Amino acid sequence: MKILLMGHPNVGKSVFFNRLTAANIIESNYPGTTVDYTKGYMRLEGKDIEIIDVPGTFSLEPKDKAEEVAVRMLHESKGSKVMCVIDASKVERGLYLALEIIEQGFSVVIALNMWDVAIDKNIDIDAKKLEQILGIPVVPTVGISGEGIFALVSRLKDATPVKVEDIVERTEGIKHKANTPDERWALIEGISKKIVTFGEYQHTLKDAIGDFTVKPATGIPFAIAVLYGFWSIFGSFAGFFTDGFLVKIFDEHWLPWLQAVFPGGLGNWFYALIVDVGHLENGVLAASDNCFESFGALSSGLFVPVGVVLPAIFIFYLMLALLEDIGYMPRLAVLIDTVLHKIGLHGYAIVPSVLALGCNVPAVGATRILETKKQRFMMMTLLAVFIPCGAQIGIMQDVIPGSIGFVMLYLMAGYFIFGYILNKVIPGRIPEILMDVPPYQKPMSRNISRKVWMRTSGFLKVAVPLVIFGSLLVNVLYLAGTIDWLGNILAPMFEGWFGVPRETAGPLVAAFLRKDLAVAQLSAIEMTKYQMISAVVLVSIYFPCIATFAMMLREGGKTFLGSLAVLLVVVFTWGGLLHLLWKLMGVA
Amino acid sequence: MTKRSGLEKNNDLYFIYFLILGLATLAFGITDLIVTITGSEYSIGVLNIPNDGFRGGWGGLIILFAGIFYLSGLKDLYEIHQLAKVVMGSILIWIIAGTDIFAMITESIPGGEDGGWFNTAQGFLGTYAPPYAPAIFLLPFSLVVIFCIHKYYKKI
Repeated sequence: MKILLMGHPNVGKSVFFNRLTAANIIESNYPGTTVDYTKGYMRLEGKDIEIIDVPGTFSLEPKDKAEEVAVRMLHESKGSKVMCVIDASKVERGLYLALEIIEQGFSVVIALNMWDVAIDKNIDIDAKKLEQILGIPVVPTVGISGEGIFALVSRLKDATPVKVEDIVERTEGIKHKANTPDERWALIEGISKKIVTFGEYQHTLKDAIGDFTVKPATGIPFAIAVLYGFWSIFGSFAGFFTDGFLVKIFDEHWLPWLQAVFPGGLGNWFYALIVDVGHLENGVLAASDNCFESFGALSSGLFVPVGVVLPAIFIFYLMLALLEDIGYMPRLAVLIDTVLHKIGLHGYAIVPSVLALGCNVPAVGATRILETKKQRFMMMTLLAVFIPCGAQIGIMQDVIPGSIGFVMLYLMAGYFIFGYILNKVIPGRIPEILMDVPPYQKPMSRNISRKVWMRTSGFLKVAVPLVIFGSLLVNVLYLAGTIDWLGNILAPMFEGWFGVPRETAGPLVAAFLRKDLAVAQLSAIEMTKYQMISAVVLVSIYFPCIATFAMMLREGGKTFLGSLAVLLVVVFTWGGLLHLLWKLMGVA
Repeated sequence: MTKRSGLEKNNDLYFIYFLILGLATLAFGITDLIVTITGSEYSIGVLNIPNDGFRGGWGGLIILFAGIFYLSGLKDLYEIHQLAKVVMGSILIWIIAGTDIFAMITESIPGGEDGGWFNTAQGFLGTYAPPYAPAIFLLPFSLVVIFCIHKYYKKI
């Protein structure tokens, strides 16, 4: 037996999936967390039952790529049972999708989820009566606390296909079909009258604050404060671990230990690859005294992901998980909707944009919540070019602490300017969206810790091998003279157009593997403050890292070539423009 | 008969309290911004106004917004939307003060570049010594809003 978990976006399907399969997938308090299906197994009466967490869809007429996946999954799973998760506080809306699924001949069991929210809103639903009318099991649940989940599973066996005509007969007393949207809504109205009673509901403080956080006059100051808090804690936390302890561990203990025990010594090519390439002091090769400059696979290769990036990524994901689960992200989406419409996107583009500040890879996947090809192409391109990942920001905080704000502002300006241009140039439609803003809720520590663990461990699995490999590769290229050769060939462009030293070629090669490693390598090149800012911007807007590259290829297909073309234009114009700015200021 | 909110009883008292707090918060926010724009360090007794772009500039702007929230919400505080504005004003102060305190904590524990692993007792305590930023002074006064929320839900 196979069970499909279906329902509107943000009704708690992923919570159900995690509870039923004891799996770990990301759950968040905003729509579009699941943009692809996830498979898992549940043990029931001695048998393994396949459960599929299907992306949220409002109906079986798909409007975006995630909804297309949902409908395709349903059509490919004839004979499966469907667990239809409905938000009990908006039962009518959920019933529409349930009726469509029933009409397709599936055995359906309904979970009236967020039962607690319905009670809070003084909405009384007669679940037993709804079960009688629909002829399928209906179970009230609170997914987040697990209430009703066992009852729901135990009722799976009672789910059998029913005919919509029978439901119409039990509701209206006359047997007829309900195939059109109008007929379905009329039927739902009839069912609703029989099962739902709305009591008096007074606005709570939570509701009032919820309203104010989406109104521009009050919401924008609040959003500024939230983002201020986010970055302030990010800086303090990352600084505490990196500057307070990890720099000492790596520079005063790990590097000297490696230098002492590793065979070969300075000048030996293998020693240079693994421990320390050294640097010239008065024409003599001297040992490095810090892991930023040693460039060995086991020194810089470990220091960058573990010593600098890990604390930054951890606190970023912790803060993001809190904002997601509290329910602030959809409000930010509503607030920024008008601004993003000017560049052809809409409010929910904030989800991939913010995710990209952690890691560009899941952010590219999250572009599926955007409706049109044009929007997905634009979003993928903009985030790959203009949004530095958390790892890179972590390193930037160490390398250019005083100029990080300027770099971020310059990139943000590029995001909007090139977004505006792309919107004008690329054909395609920009649909309006209706946003469903969920209520504020208390974040669950279990969900937060699981999300932070999954995202952070996912980062480590990808970053550590790539940074070590990147260090090795760049060192090999240095030793083979390739970087010098590249630097000489590209010197006119680097020095003349971008205003950065020719040695920047090395970090740019590394940037293709890991941008954080590339920024770390920039710190070892002698240059002015302004050249350093230009070089960091160049690393940011230059090719996306290999993992993002692969994800863009998978998600964008042929349009990926278009993204690359945009990227080349951006590197030359936006990178060159910064040099021009320095020249006008007389600092270049 | 519909029960009234507990806040209605001493409405005038709350009005005066949040008027004074709102004006003080607004003044701190404006001073913060002026100090940041002029770029000069400003310290008087136990008060220090930050002049860097992040804490002084953005932080000052947020304090200014907090003052505006207080002043716009103080009339008819027993009405939920008015109370919500005052609560939001306090939340803004909690964010600024909370991040200031968090920064102090993270600075106080490590021994520093040339020191040992951990700070000395003197160094640790020294981090918490005055002068403080305006948000730290506003913090205890902003907590009164918790009492107001309690009063609001206590029907009379």
